[in-house]
Amino acid sequence: MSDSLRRIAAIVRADFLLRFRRPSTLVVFLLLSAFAYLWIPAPSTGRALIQIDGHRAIYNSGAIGLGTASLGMMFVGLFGYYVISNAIRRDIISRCGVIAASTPMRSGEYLLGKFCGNLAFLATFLNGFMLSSMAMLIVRGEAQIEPLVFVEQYLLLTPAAIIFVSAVAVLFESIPFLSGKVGDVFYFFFWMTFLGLAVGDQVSGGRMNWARCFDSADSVS
Amino acid sequence: MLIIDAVSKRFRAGNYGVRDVSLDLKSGVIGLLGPNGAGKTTLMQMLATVTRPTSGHIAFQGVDIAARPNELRRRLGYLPQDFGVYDNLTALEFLDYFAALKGVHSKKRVLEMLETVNLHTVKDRALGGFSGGMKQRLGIAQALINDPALVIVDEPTAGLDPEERVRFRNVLSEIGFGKLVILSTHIVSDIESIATEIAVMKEGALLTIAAPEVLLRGAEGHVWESVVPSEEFERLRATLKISSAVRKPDGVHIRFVGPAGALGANAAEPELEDAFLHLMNAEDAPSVHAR
Repeated sequence: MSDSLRRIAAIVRADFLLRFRRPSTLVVFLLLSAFAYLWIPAPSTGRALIQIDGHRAIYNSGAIGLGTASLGMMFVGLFGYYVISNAIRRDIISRCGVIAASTPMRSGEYLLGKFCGNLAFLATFLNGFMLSSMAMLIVRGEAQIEPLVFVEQYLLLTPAAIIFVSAVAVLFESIPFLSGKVGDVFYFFFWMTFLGLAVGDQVSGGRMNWARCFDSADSVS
Repeated sequence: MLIIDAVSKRFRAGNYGVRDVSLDLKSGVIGLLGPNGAGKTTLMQMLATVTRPTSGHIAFQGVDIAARPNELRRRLGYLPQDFGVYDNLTALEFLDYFAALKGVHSKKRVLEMLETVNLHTVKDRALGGFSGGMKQRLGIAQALINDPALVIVDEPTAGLDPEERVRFRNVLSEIGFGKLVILSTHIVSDIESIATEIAVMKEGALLTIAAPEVLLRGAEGHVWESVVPSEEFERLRATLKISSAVRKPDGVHIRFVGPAGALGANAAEPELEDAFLHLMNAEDAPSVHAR
């Protein structure tokens, strides 16, 4: 393995260990799992995860996989950013970053290491969430568990969010103006805007004119 | 080994952190002494290639470090001021991490360094539970992991208790052989026993660099001892540059730098603390760049 890869791997490993040893990671994971429990209500409550024309979708691997992967995607999209957006800040505060800057490591290696560290954390986190969702399927007990169907749903829905959030977190931390509270607030509105657009598009049945959103004169029809 | 040629660092506000500093350093332990705000840290950061000079050049073994920083970085050990650690990593994981960043792949070397700084028995313990002294020793271990030719340590004893300071000083004195170690501090006792040369800075400028004996000779005839009553001591404190004071039954035994005045003071043999005070307060600070 080249020095460059070893450096990137070392950053990923250190970031991974640091985050998973934080008690707050466990708290967030448990909260998310509890939310999944509420997200997939027991049939006896009269509520349902997915309803089509008044018919409740049975709780099988496909339905629960889809529901929890959607929840995980939204969670990663918003809260994931706040969980991972301290990787570079931590190095600055601890001054370990100053030592790193005095080593032969290139800036690109450092940023790639931080990005991959974010990816590894969020992917592992969602993997754990997927396993707890599988447990939910067993709890609700309406169908046999099909792990591959679960994995398929997660692979379809979550990688884009993980990559996007990991990249944005590193980008924001690398821009002095956006690193810190300003970036945190900006990201919230950024995410809400895109969520609003996506939901708006769904509600309008795909007929939403995207260009109109950015046209202050409202001249595009 | 390390040539600093007319180096200045000017900040955006227009003020200078370091102004026109020139040094030619060979191997040994160089103490960089100066009060807070003297520009020591700024100079150290430039030497460590963390920041660049706004003017002047720094060359390590003939290579301009601004143009080719990696030439130095491969052979550099740097311990910055207020060094922190990752609390959730163990000592072994932490050192492993910096070893990888520096291109050191030997696990044996990592374990050896932990043994050198006497942390091998706690290598699997989380750093959050380490004392300030243990963290500093780990800091020096990461600085030395790549067997550097140039070691830069910035205020390494700040915040340590006296016992830990002595232990840390011993570690530093042991590593100095064959390397250039630059140790910045505002505490004279940190370097008086280990420095082969002492550079004194004030307000961004280099006042002098000399062997400790030369600095001591420069203070000869300027250091005095006297015994004064307690009530007079309070008044004198505001006017004299007192380097030490000890209360005894017959009064306060003071040691001060400057003219003897009318205190009936006796001339005293200068110590490094006196020489430093003398340099800091002399209106016409000597511009000797004696070696």
